Formats: sequence, structure tokens, C-alpha cells
Amino acid sequence: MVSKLVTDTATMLEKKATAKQTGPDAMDYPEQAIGEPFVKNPKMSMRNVDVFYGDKQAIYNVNVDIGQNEVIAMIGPSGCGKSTFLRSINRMNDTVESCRVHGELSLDGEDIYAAKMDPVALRARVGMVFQKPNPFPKSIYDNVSYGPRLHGLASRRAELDEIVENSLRRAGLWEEVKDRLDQPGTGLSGGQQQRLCIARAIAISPEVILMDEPCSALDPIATAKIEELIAELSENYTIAIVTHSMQQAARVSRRTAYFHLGHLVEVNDTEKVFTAPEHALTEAYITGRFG
Amino acid sequence: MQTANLVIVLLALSAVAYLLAHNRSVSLSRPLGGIRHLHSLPFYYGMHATIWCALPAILLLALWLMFDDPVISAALLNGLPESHQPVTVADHNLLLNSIENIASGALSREGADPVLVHAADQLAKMRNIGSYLATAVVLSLGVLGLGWGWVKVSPQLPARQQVEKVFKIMLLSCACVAIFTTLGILLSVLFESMRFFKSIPVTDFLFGTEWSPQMAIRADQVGSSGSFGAIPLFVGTLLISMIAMLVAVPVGLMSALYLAEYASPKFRGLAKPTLEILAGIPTVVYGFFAALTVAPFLRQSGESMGLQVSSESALAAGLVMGVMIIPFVSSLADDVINAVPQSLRDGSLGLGATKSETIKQVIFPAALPGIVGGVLLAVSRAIGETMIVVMAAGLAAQLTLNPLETVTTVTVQIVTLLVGDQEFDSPKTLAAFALGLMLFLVTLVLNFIALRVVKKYREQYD
Repeated sequence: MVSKLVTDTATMLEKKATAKQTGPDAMDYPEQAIGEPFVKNPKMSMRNVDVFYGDKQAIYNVNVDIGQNEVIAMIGPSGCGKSTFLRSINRMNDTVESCRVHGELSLDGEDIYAAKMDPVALRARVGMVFQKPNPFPKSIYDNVSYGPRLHGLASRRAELDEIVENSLRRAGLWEEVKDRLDQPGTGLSGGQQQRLCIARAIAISPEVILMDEPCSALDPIATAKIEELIAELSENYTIAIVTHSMQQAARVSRRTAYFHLGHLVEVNDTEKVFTAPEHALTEAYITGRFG
Repeated sequence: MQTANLVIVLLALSAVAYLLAHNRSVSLSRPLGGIRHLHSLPFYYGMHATIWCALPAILLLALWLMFDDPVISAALLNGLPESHQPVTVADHNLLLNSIENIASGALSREGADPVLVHAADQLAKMRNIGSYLATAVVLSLGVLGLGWGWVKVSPQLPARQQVEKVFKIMLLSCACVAIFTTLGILLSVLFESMRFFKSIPVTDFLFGTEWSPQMAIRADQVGSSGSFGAIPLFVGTLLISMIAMLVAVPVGLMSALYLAEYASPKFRGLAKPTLEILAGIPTVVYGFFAALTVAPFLRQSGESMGLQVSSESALAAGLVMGVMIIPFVSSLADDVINAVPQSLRDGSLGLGATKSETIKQVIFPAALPGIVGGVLLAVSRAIGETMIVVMAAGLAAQLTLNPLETVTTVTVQIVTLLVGDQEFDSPKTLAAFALGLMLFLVTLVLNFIALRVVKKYREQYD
């Protein structure tokens, strides 16, 4: 599995190398991301982040903040390092053997990659929803209660029931599954499965939720439901979402970051990025010249 | 002509058929404007003619060889005078044997019954004629087939489909060989077992608690109790298999978990082949390892603790058998654990689970059906294992659950019943078939369950 990830990344990087020659103004990356990459009182802040897979560099000197309770969208062409960057934020990249992350990444001012930081505890605070719905082959109830049980969030069964119900309600799934909580989560439809995964993630009350193209495997109706859900969740959570769909970024996010071949090109208010992009690369992507 | 030579000539003939039909199709296509105007490629026309040339001739040859001997011996016996006609089946075989021996020169012609000598001459003559006849018929059929295949070549002939059809039938018949062999073995074991159950009641065999397979030749013989209760054997088998599984399942499973989840690729690349070498050691080697090293060690350490350990014990055999099965369990478990999608691991890790929590709560349950299937296959392996038990657990059929005592298993008893010159009409030897049948049924049920479980598992991630 690990080796597959590595080869996937390798092919991604190869694609990148060829894209470099064809992309418009490909070498013209700004020293510093254009726009407003930094905010006051950030929830998370990333400085001088470089990510390598073996000898190949996937992320080049990225500096950006994620604000409290904001939805930040990360967009960019395939293989631009959005997902790699996202996986560095909660140290999911630790599971990839050849991956190295340099730079200062912090959550509430705490260094994420400090020696005393426990990646397991970090991931409980920075939850993640994946591209493909990945419910465990367990019942719906056990899927949602998995995290709370691990972290001892409930001491009695009734408390656990409450957490499960609340999480499913907030994920907009409760009405659909309340009568069959004991049935396998894998038996749900794709959209329901993804909402189950979101319920599973919010059941442990994370501070930040990272979403890696959460709708790419879903049909438009299921996508609309998830987008509504993201809007609701943004009242209580800080959300970073990687997406391929510019419309989705425009609909759900307050700020948008544009990545290009491992470089962070532009970060700005979503409206501004889509109506008046400052950098030529951003404009080219937004207007559909490549991607 | 010798059969082998005949086959070689046939093969050469079919090669000729291939070339002729191939060339004919090419030359037929030329006026049409190239081979794309043929129905099939020239290769298929060649194969079509080859099949016509070789297949009927070879089938005929096979039939000939099958019915050659019975026909000749029937003719031979008909030619014998009334006084020499055999009465019983045994006589019949004996008579044919002596004619055969005289014909081949194994028995001296001098002093033999002149009628038989005459018959032997007849036999040689008929064989000679038969052989010429076979050569002539088979070869002419081959040539006919060749001609037919050559004549049939035409741009419209759907040679491609016909060749495919013949290949399909050939594949089918190969598949049938395996099925019919299994069926044949099963039936022969079944019939021999029925003969056994004619002299020993089924209930005595299934529920008897004493195993002492001695049959009296004379009525006044000593020690000819002759009891055929299979329970001690099955208890011994289960005892040893259980000890083996107690060793193999935890060790095999945990080493698989380590290899699949924790080990670095380098260590895994080194450890996995090493583990699989264990599977390549002949069981005889395990056997004397058990008998010469493990059993004495157990005896010594048992005695130092004040336990009575017999020098051949179920424990020694079971332990070594467990070691033997470890690679079996670990490699199957490794495969299923690796088949658990990475996305499930990511999902669990992303919720703040540690690696071992992920393994315990997500990976292991997801892989469980496959693991159970693997373990059941390993159990049937343990039940069928013989060599280690012969050497390390002894031959005495005791009904005991004490692993420190000597026990015996079903397979070991089958071996001892059939070792040496035996006649297959006494219950003593027929008992082997009954035991074999029981064993077959037990492993069949286990394999059936295992395959069902594995199949169910496969459906889950497709």
C-alpha cells in the first residue's frame, strides 16, 4: 500500500515535470503567495513548508494561515500538491515512508512537528475526510462511535448514544439511518457513506476538519448535500477543503488558495480570487485555460 | 509399428497437414487480393487441417489400445478346447497369465501343456496382425483427415470458430480429468469401505473406543481381539491438530501482522522468503527433528518438573507440526491483511487511532473472514499430516486427552495397516479405507467451510 502511494506520487511528479514545459508562464512563481495568505489570530499557520517524496520535492516554500472557523478552499490542477499539503497538516504523511516535511506548522501556536507532539493526539484534533468514502466494515453505530470510544469521550452507553445521534444529525444523516444503526455502513449509498464519514469525523469534536476532495466520488445531489453540510459545520469548525471543482470552492469557501505545481500562487477572499485574480497563473486556471 | 512410433508419424503427418492447408489458403487468397479476404487467418486453416488429421486418428488409436487386449483374449479363449475352458474368474486370469508367460518366454515351452503352447503361438500371431492393422487403419485415417482438411480450405470456411470450438472441448476434457479422478478415488474408497462395514458394523467403527486391528487367522490364536473403534484415532488426531493450531495460529497470525503492518520493506523482503522456506522443509525432516530433539527435550524437562512424559508424545508431534504450519497461516493471513484497503487504515488513523488500535479494531475484523478461511485450510493440513506423527507421537491407540502421553492418528494407522504385503480382503486392511473415507469427509467439510468463508470475504471489497 505504502509503495503504491509512493509510485502514485512519483507519477504525479512526472506529470508535473511535463506540465512545467507546457503551462503558461510556468516558471513565473511569486516569491511569496500573492494576496492575503495571513490572517489575525490564525487557527493554524504554516511557514516555509517544503515537502519531499524521496528526492523529489512536492511542495515549495508554502506560507499560509487558516483562520478560526473559516472555510478555506485549496484549488489547482492535478498533481499540484494540494492533497500532499493537506495531509501534512495532520501528519497523515507520516504513514508514507519516503515523505519528509520541513518548515514550521502550528496549531494554536503549538508546533505540529515538534518531538513532543503526538501525531495520534494531533489527528484527533485535526480530523480528516477522504476523497473516497471509507466507512469501516462495521455497523453505522460502530462507525460513528469508533472515535469517541477510542478517546474515551463517553463513560456510559447513553452518552455514547447521544454523541452518535448528534453527529449523525449534524451530518444530516440521522433521519435516513436512525432505524438501521445496526446495519453495516458499507451498505449505504456513496453520498450517505461520505456523510457517515463526516459524522464519524465530527463525533470526536475535532477543532479542524480537513476534507480531501470529499465530493469527487459523488453525484450532484449528494454533492449539494455535503456542501450544505460544510456551510453548517463552518459555524463551529475550521475547515480546509481540497477540491477540483471551482464552482464548489466558490460556493463553500470564504478564502481560496491556488496551488500550482507545488507552489502556493495566490491566496485571497474567494470572491476576489474568482472575479479578480491577481496572478496570471490563477487567472489562466480560473478561466479554464488549463487544469 | 510400435505405438510410440505411430504417434510420432501421426504428429509429422499433422505438421504436413498444417503446412499444406496454410499454403493452400494463402494461394487461394492471392487472386482475391490478400489474406484479409479470407474468413480466417492462414494459421487457423492450418490448425483446422491439423485437427482433422490428428484428432480422429489419435482417438481411434486410443480406442484400439483400450479394446485390443480384451478382444484378443476373448478370441484366444474361444479357440481353446472344452477341457481347458476356465470355470472361475481366478482360473480365467491364471490361464491367460500362463499363456502370456509362455508367449513372452518367461515360462519354458518344454513340458508345458501343448494346448497352451499352441494358444501362445496364436497370441503372438494375433498381436502381430493387430499391430499391423492398427498402423494401417490409424495412418489411413490420418491421411484421410489430412485430405479432408486440405479440400475444405476455402475463403468461406469459418476455420477460426471451428478451431476455437475444438480448443474449448479440449480444455473441458482436461478439467474433467481432475473431476473424474477425484470421483474415482472417492468411489473406490467408498466401495472398499462398504466391504469393511459388511464385516464390522458401522456403529462399532464410529463409536467404538478401542482400536486394535488384529484379525485371527486361526480360531485359537492369542491376542486376536480385532476391535475397530475409531474414536481413539480421531481423538488423537484432534488432540495433535489442536496443539499444532495452538502453536501455528498465534505465531503465524502475529508474524503476518508484523510483516504486513510494521516491518520495513527491507525486513519484509528478507523475512517473508525465510518464513516460506519453513514450508519447503520435507515433513520427514520435521519428523526426526520432533523425534530426536523435541520429544527427548520435553521428556527431560517434564521429568525435572516431576511429570510423567512418555518418550513419544502428542505434545512433541503437535508442537513440531505447529511450526510446520506457521508459514501456511502467516502467508495466507499476510495476503488478506494486505488486501484490506489503505483507505480504511487512513480513515482510522485520521480519527486519531494508534497503529495497534487500527489493527485491532479495523484491519483485523476486516480481514477476519479471510483469516478464518486460512486457518481452516491449515487445520485440514494438520489433520492430514502423517510423517511427524509416525515419528514423534507413537503408534499406540490410547483414548486420552493428556498431551504428554503417546497417541496415534488416523493417517498413521492407515499407514501401519497397509505397510508390507497385505491381502485386501481382511477387515484389517479394509479398515484403512474406512478410515480414509472418514478423513476425507472431515477435510472435505473443513475445506468447504473455508472456501465459503473466503468467498464471502472476497465479495466484500469488490
